[in-house]
Amino acid sequence: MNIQISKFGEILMSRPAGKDAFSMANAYIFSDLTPDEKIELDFAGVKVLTPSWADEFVTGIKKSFSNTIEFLNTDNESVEASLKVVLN
Amino acid sequence: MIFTDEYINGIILKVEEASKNKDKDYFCSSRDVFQVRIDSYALGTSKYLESAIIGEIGNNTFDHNWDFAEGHARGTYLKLYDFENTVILADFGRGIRKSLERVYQAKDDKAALEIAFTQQISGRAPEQRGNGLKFVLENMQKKNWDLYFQSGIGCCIISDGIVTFKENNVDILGCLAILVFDGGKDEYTNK
Repeated sequence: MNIQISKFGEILMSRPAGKDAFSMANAYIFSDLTPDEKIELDFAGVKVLTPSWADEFVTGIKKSFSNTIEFLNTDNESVEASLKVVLN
Repeated sequence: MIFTDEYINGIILKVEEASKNKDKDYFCSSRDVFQVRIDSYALGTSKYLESAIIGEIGNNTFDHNWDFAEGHARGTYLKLYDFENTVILADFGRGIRKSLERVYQAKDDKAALEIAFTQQISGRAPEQRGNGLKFVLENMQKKNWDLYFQSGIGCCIISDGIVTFKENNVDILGCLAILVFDGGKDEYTNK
């Protein structure tokens, strides 16, 4: 399953926004997820990501699903730096 | 060192004046207003990592404060545009030491800042939070940008890549952050 994170917005900052994005994804996107399916989080087109938003979204997925998560197109500086904090 | 006492105390006075005047040019009274201003800054300047750092500090105001000091403006002070290299954020909320009080009894403001900037800790435990200021410190230092952050009399300063914690002789309510990024011209020193 490939999720284009930029569909939530180009600038992803606050915890409430990250939490809401996860809730939406949980209701409408992950409902189709199968147990062995890899989750690809594709950050192409995301301009600003903070650890707060990423923490709410990524940690939400990790707590709810045991599927493997892959992070794609993370070369934007803020995406790289925020994921480093959240995944450590 | 650009963060001289005169420079810092001048900014403290300007921010206090804006707060007492409830100056809406600078104060974002809600998270939504703050978000719009940051969106505009990020898209207008393409300074994406800088925007993430500003966003982490500014959102802390709304994550940790319900009430603000009497006579002062609600929300976060944000000064972005006049001269792009220096960004100032401030609030008149509870400050770092009081925010952490539920989970960590710091002996003073400086100790509270040291914990907040170097450990994963949050006054909103058991929620798993508390990485925001670490992210700020690590990336400001990595990019060789300068930071002055004060809460109470405690200060965290990054200058020339070196992090120091100290005390200011002027006590402030809430928090003040001065971020100096590359390029541009500084409004207060005009250099």
